[in-house]
Amino acid sequence: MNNTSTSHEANPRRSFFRAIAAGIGSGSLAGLAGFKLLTTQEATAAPLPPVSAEATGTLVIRMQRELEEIVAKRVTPNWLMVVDTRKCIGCDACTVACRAENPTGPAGNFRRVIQREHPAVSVGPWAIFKPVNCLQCDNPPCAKAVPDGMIWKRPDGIVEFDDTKLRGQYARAAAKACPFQLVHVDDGRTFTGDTPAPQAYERRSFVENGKVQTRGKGGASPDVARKCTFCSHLLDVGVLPACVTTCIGGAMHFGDGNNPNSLVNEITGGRRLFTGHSNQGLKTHVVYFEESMPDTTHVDCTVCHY
Amino acid sequence: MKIDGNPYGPRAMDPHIDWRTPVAQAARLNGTICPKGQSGLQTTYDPYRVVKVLKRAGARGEGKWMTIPFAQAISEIVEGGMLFPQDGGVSVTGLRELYALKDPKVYTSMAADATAVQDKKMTVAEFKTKYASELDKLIDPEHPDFGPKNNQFVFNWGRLKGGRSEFFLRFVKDSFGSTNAHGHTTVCQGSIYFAGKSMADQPSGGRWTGGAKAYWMADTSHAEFIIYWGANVLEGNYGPPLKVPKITRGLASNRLRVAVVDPRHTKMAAKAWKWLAIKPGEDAALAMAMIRWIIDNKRYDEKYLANCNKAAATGDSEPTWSNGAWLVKMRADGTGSGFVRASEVGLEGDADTFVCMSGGKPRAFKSDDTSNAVEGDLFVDNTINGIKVKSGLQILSEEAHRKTIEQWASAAGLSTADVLALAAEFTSHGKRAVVEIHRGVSQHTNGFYNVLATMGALNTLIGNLDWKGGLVYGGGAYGEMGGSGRPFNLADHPAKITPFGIDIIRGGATYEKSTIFAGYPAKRPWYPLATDVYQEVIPSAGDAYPYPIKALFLYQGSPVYALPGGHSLIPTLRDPKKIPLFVTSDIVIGETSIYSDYLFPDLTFLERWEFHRTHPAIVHRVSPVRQPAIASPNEVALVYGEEMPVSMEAVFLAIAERLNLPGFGPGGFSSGANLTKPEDYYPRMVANIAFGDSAGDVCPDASAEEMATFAAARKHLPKNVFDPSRWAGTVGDAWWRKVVYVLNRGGRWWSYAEAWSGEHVKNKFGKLVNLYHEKPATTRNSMTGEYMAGIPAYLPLSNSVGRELQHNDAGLTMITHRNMLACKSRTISNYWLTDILPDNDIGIHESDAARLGLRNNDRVWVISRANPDAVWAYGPGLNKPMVGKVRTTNRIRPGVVTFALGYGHWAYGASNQTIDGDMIPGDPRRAAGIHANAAMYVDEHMRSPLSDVVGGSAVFYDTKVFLAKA
Repeated sequence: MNNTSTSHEANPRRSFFRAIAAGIGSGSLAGLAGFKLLTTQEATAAPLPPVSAEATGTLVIRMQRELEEIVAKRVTPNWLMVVDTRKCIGCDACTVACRAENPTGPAGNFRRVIQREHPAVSVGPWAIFKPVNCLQCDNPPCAKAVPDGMIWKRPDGIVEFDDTKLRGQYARAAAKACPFQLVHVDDGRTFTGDTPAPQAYERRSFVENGKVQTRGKGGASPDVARKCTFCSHLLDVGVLPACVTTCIGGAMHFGDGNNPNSLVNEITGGRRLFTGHSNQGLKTHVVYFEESMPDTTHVDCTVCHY
Repeated sequence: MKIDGNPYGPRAMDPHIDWRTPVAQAARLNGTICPKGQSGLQTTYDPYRVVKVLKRAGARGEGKWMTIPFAQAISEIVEGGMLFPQDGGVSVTGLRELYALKDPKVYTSMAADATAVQDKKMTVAEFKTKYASELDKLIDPEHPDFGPKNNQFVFNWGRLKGGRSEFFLRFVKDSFGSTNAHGHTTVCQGSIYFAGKSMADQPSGGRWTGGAKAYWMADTSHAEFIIYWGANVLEGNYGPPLKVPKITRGLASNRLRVAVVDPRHTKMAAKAWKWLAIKPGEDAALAMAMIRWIIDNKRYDEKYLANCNKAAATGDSEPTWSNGAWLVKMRADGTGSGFVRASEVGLEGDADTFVCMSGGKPRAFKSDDTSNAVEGDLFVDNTINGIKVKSGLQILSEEAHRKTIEQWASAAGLSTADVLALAAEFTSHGKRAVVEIHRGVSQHTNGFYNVLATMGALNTLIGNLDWKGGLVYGGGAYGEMGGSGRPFNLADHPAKITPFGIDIIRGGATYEKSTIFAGYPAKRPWYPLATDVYQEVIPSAGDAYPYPIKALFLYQGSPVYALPGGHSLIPTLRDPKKIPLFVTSDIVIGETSIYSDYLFPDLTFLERWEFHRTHPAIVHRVSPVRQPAIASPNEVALVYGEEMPVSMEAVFLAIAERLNLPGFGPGGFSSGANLTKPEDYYPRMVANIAFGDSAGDVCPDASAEEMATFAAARKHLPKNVFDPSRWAGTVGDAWWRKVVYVLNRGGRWWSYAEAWSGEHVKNKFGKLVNLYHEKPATTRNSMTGEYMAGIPAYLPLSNSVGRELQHNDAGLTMITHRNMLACKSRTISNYWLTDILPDNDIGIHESDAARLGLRNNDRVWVISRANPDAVWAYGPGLNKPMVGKVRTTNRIRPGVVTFALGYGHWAYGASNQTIDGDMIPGDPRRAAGIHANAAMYVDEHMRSPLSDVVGGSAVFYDTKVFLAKA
């Protein structure tokens, strides 16, 4: 099960997650029993002033609670990632956090932040930022491009790859089929491989598509298709995706779309959302809301990306 | 290993969780950190890390090295001698010879007499007679104010944070006795710090002292309007993880409105109400326009400005007060000099009794008087007892009225309508509006006065200091060094030296008083108002001014790469006659450590102790603790019988051991406690944090469960890094579990709500803030011989001797910026970052590009008067051309070009190095992009980087360049 990492773990919090994982692995939820995550309010003797409901820390705590409840109750969620592009500052912390969590090489990464400087209509100096990762389509074009059984949907909405088969020509076909260019073919190369001292962390083991993996191994055809899985190896043990927790601007939201009281439902309520390529009927599990902040020049993305 | 933000502190969680939250709960939350932090393990696991001591095997900069044992390197450095046969028989002076004067009592007595010589109360001959037996220990007996030979040992650093700073300075100053310990402040934002110090100085005995080297920022959580002025807050400016969440939620909820003043359309500008694309260096022009409008329309806080002392301020619930209504004596030429003292106008008082006009009558007061409230008339122009006087506000108003608003706006390259809108908005939010500035304001030749006009005058006019949502000074840190009942006094030293003598950068020194005063201009500038002038250390050594140095130690710094015009330092660094011994502490062979005689590997941030403390924008009291998280790959040294990985601490400890320096080793503390290893120092600092601010504040013991977590999380560490008994032993049983409580959390912080008290921040500046500055007004500029201005003034750009800058008809002003994915000089090793941004570019406005026939991705040479060859000539036959690719954009002011710092390396793993005869090939990815600092202005008089000779800033943004297609 989750033997994620690694010989050089130093962070006590990571060790703690492993303890939870071990608990679940042995069929027990003891790892979570008895824990209650305190809010700032509860942990502080003095009452707090009202904190904006949109404060990042508050949201992270709420998302964490919702996730732990799902794990504890063994509910099958319908994962939804909601990106508030107003709050994205284009810093790429999520992009790098993703690499740190999910080892990838120079051939590609699971996510990136798109920066656009020139809207269709000229409005003068202008820029927007939009982080992207696999949208976990309910109707995934990548699956249609390869033989049946190589790509499937998990009940929680995550698109998973059979990485023993999705190699070589199939990997390339899946990558080519993604309208967002969010599937890449991992050729096994590392960043330090050609330096005088290749580094061990690039060959660490990790969990992906439900199995322990190591990059750069796998026999004759190392070219394997890879993409974002919402950090499913973390979700399964009650930890939020790496891009969500590291987001400085508080743009990333994650939770159960089936739960009417979840944060993701609360914040999307009454807003116009867009995904991109909706005309292809993809039914994505990542949605964006983009509305102008009061002072900024706004180009309504939903005009094209409905 | 994965690095995540710490949810216990405000730097990485907004709001952060309470410090008392059990670790088991906190472990399930990850705080936010920036992309550089997320890639931090690549700084540690870098294929080009140095892990053994390197000694130069060729000429300096040639890239030829040999590894030698740590102990041998220490021995050679201390004893000196014929260390480098390839230099042709030059004997190097070792540290033993420089450790000349040892007796702290003699230091104290000599220091007083050297001052007496400067004050002409003692002659040099009398001094020489009195100290006849000690003269061989002086640099030059004819100049007692140079101090002892110990001062020829110079310690210079780039990034040095708490804990290590006290440890290192204990060696350099307290034990070795050198006055020469200089930081990097002026390459970042020196003129902000020293303008901030001038704003914070308080009157004492007729002088102005005590102001901290610090500055002010916005209370981002509550402000309604912030002008980010020359401050790239979404990518730098101490901004991202700390400020961004407060900004984005403020914008999304409509609590906050933002304006950006910057020649570049920053990411913040993309989300702002208004972008004012100011002309570089004209910040004071915009400030003057706003000041004039605010005064003319009475949009200032009249009540606040009328308060002349603490009693008056307290009556208005104002934590601070200004000296805007205090009366200043005017010179015949119309400039202001010092404040009027009561005795000069027939009123009673001492040297700290000042005068205002109150209802048209002179009234005396003391600034810190808590019982007699005195309010003054704001605008005064009068004559009292034959003395021409004006109020500070009057002088400021006259400066602002030198031009019309239209003229000021035009000088700043802005539309009058935008300027008026900005001024109106700024004065429409009461105390919850802030001007927040950073390098874009300060790194000009007029930086000091730009800062006084922006951060100083504008904020003071609306009286927003210490207010919730206003201008704040920061919540401070816990008293890690001890004192006030804390368990360990780490400043304690059994034979502490107080060094004396003019330092090599002439920081805080007055030219006219020195024994080498020789008229104006001085050979190199003196900095009576500044210290830590980074760009002065190596050039001053090169000029042997005021005296030659013998040894330079550089810690975690790369002045050649980081400084504007850093190429001008290279000839000095390469010349063993000018810097006879050059020792560095680095993790990679960098652009400056490439010139080392000896390069000691240091620990990376994941392997060492450090105490980052705080910053003005952090309103909470915070004491984060960095602690060894992984083993170091470095060679293990044996010092005082203790094993430790080679580090800067190990170097200082080993030198101390060899020289038998007091303050280190067995009995290194006067309590008899030892200081033989880093763990004798840092865990004791943690115990002081555990103690808190007062006796009732002491932290709990770690529970048994937390003790177990602590041990389990460190079981991968070798004994020479983590030995529980070694750590526990230094703090004792009474404190060990409390130390663990703090270490498990990575520090100690106020809870979120604790930072504010009613409508104010809890930790207040709470004192006089200067609008008029007596010290500069009565101090001469060492280059022009003229008095400096006492008010926030508009000054044209100029070189060190006050002449107009010459650009040989180059037409594009070159500025720099920070990209979120690169720090100034050390992230090229982080491949996860360079994968996203493999190289940088030269941003140019579409209209300029069209005019010059340049298109996207065209490669261009960056040519300037300072560097017509557009090249970094960094070693024998070694050149790095300054060629970069063009990016055309409408997100920059026409006439301005910019490049992101951090690229265009020629060392730091970018070039081949030969170690023990083996060639280690460089990585071409690390050479990508352009670093155009070598095009920046080199001062004609100094032959070194252009500087703000008042505030000390190194000047980044006042160079004009040509771009020529490559």
